[in-house]
Amino acid sequence: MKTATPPVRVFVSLLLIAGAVLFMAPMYQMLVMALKTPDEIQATSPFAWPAHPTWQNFVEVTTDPEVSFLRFFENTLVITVLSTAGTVISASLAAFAFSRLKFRARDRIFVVLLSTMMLPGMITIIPSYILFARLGWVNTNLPLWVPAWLGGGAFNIFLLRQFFLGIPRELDEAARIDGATNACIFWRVVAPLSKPALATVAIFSFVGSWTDFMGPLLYLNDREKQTLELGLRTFQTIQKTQWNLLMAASLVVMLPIVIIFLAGQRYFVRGISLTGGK
Amino acid sequence: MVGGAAGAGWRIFLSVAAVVLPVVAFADPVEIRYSVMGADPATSQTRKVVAEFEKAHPDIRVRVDEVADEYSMRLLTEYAAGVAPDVAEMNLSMYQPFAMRGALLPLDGKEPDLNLWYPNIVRYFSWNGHLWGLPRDVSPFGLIFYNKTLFDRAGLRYPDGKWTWSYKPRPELREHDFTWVMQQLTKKDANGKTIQFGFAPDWPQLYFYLLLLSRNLTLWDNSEAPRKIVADQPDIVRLMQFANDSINKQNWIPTWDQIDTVERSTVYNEFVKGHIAMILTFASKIGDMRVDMAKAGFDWDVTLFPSYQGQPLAMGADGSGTVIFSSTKHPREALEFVRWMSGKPGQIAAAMAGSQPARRDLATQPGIWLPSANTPAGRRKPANLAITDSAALKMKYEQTPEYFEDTRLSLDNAAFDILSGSRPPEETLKRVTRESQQRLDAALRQMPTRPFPTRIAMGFVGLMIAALIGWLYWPERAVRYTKREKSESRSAYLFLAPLILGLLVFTLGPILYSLLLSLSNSDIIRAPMWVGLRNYTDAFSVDPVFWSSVRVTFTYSLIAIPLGLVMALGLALLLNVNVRGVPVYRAMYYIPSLVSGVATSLIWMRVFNPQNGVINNVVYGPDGHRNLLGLGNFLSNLAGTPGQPVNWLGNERTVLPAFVMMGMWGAGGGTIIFLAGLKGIPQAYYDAATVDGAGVWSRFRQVTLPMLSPTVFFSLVTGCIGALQVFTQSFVMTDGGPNNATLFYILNLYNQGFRSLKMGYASALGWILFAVILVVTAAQLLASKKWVYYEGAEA
Repeated sequence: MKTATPPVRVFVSLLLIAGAVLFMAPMYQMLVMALKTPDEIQATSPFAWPAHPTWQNFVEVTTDPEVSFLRFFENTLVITVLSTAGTVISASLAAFAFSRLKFRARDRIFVVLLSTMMLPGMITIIPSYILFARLGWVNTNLPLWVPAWLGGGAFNIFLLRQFFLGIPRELDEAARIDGATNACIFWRVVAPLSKPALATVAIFSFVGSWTDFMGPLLYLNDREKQTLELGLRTFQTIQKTQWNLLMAASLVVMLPIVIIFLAGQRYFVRGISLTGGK
Repeated sequence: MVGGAAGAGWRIFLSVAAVVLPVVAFADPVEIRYSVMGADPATSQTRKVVAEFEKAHPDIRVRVDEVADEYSMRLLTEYAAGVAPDVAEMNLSMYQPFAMRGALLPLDGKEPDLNLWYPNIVRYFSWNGHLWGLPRDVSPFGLIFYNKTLFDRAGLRYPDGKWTWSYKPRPELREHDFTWVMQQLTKKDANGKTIQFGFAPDWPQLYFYLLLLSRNLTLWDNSEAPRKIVADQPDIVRLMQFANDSINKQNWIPTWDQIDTVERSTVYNEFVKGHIAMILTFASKIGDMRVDMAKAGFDWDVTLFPSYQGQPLAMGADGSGTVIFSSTKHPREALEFVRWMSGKPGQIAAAMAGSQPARRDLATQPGIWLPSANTPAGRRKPANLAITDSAALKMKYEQTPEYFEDTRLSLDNAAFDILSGSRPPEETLKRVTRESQQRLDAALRQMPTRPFPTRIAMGFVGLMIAALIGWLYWPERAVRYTKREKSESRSAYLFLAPLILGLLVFTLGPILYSLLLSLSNSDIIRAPMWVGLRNYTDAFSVDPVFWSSVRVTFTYSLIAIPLGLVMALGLALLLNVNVRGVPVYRAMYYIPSLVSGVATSLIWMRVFNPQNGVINNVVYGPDGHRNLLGLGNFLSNLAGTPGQPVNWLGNERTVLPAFVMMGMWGAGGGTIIFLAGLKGIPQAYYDAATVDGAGVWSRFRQVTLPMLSPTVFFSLVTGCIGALQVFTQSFVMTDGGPNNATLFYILNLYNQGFRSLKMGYASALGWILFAVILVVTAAQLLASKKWVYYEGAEA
């Protein structure tokens, strides 16, 4: 739909702006609170722009000795990068097999894979924890990224399979006639044509891992091994919520994912040009 | 020379030995792990006391484990896996489930000076005749903090501790009637809007229990062996009607939405701002209050909650202590540590952080808890702090037997609905009585159990696996593969190797384990006993909220799934149009999905706040009287509360739509998937359609929709799975309320598994849901053959 006429464009722009205002309203509230002093939050309307915006909250959360921000950042980054890489690689391998190769009981095995999503995670928390404890992995970051390398989750495999199934078979056949192996078809035909889908899986996995709370909460005991999402809780205690700090910290924690998203966008923007298609 | 050399050698040896020996002797200090609730202001004090302990005991190292949230769940999980900490901090309501199941070491006779402790806190840390935790602090609830300045302004004398409360204000008694004082201190503006509240409990539950205590009533017949729930008896109905009226009708007490901010504990902030004259809270608030009230320029003091005319005064009991897990390998060192943390050093440190010591001698000694002559002026308030001693002596806590645990939790959970819900308390109490009695009857029915038959269970698991493999491969047994196909399937297994390994190692075991647990009475702590299929039949016949949770979950799913799909697809189509600034819009629509969990729910509670939330501010205006385009009246009527701004999260009719709205805010994720799908459609197809003379609509019908159908199918299947398992919002924001309107299926599962510790039953609930989702997904898979188009499918 690249050939939109000017009136259509104006109309679409207006719709997009209206929607964006709605979507960004709560974000605006976060930002406003992050720029106010606690007293000003108490005294003024939640919509009012701060009289004297202060960056003090951001300075405070990134330098708080109780929350070794850099250490948390590093821990989070390690876990997130490892699990994202694992997810993209192992999920796309599996999705390739489910969409492109023939083997016995393929579609029924796929249903079995889907069924792992259907059992509520709540009831496997304890058995999984027991398993990782037996492996001696408690209080290490291994439970948080090693499983990503072994399958990458049914959700991601399913997503990629759907996309792979949309790529014309003729391309494989042509490559096969040229003597390409399956690995070669995966790497040279299917993967390059699925960049939007791979980018989607990468971003989902990155965000999921970056904002994960229960995993680190259960598996990381030592303070110096913990992650940003756990650190955020410091600003919301049983006693009281430090709004200004909590919101500033949430924004800081969010920033890297926003950057990653903006950077990864070009993979969505660039559509697919099929030269060998029908 | 020789002698000299030998001497030098000895000297070197000795000096090396002098360095090495102590190291060798202490090379292996015992390490114990100590778990505390993190995100607690007392944590830095805790670390200091631990460091002092290590200094005094060089042979013991302590690893402090600060758990940021879900403290109880984490300890249970660790205990189940055999990696529980040696020592943990626990409060009164927490230790009991652990103690009654044998997870803790008894501490009888281990503390010689136990007679120095407040006797009732020691009694409540005992169960079945044994002491299970050494109390560190007491936290009697029943302390009222009052703003002297507001009393002055109203021309009232300060409480002298001799007041009583009554169902109606008694003006003749003046300051000796709490109800009258509450009324006098409430101020309304010309529109009838309350601008100053007489009283507010920090948590609604505190008020609930205190009222029951002061009337000497319990919700069950007797605490030794409860058999009957009597929550609907006339005395309790009258009591709760009074409480509900003083909140919703007279508004002496704010409703929980009239509090400016969203966290319930910020009743405190309103007190500091002078909007509430008296608050009921714990002594641990004193530290903050000293600073904040001085800053606000208010004078204040503390007194006791009134008794009910002539009946003896009782305080609610709470407090924390230190316990030893029975799995510890170092009971001796653990005990040393417990006696330090809950002994004098720990109690003094806790007192500095604002907790009243559990040892009466420390709590009454000036300079520790009470101010002394050299206490700086800022720490001398409140002047009447000494009454915390009498409050601690009046603490009362009803201990009930193990079989009553689940029932009691369900009663606890109902406190909020009863006290401040929009339904008449009598109706809510009737419902709660019915539900709780059903639970209690089931618990009393002492069903037979037998030891878990491991062999039969393994055989059962083997059969399941065999059946699964049979289902997978039997239909294709006759298919013969060509040589090329054989090589293709060999290579497929290579591609699948990581997945298969992951499924076998990390997924299969826990899934089968939970299947076996669903046939047991597992309570996480003790060895599970076999109950056969009873958990499954219980779900349909015994669980009083099973069907309502199914209804809530399906209602939500039926609205949220189609709406989410349409919204995500619509947004994706808009964002796929080539207009200026699309990358920015794309980010703006996706960013809400990136906000961390804590911040999201807090923000949303602000958005939905009926008094000053974003939505009602727009619809009803800041004063609550505007009616934007007639929308205000329309919404109010829809919510069943004509003439009032909609109380989004507090109204049974609007809370699910509110949750759906929140879900829409996260539509950015689905949009991204659709966008990826749209970008995957080759431009050449559109061009070809245009050449054939297709317009916008027919291009959408003939190119976009079929090419996008795999993505739509994906979103539909995962959307259903996600919606049927929805949980987080209700867990964080409404805890299933109001009146079970957001008690989703998974929230019930969580409550049963991790709060009532009926993990066997919770597992069965999980497998029932699994079966339902499996059927739904299978139906979608079958139907998909009709409408999903795969460009690259085999011919």
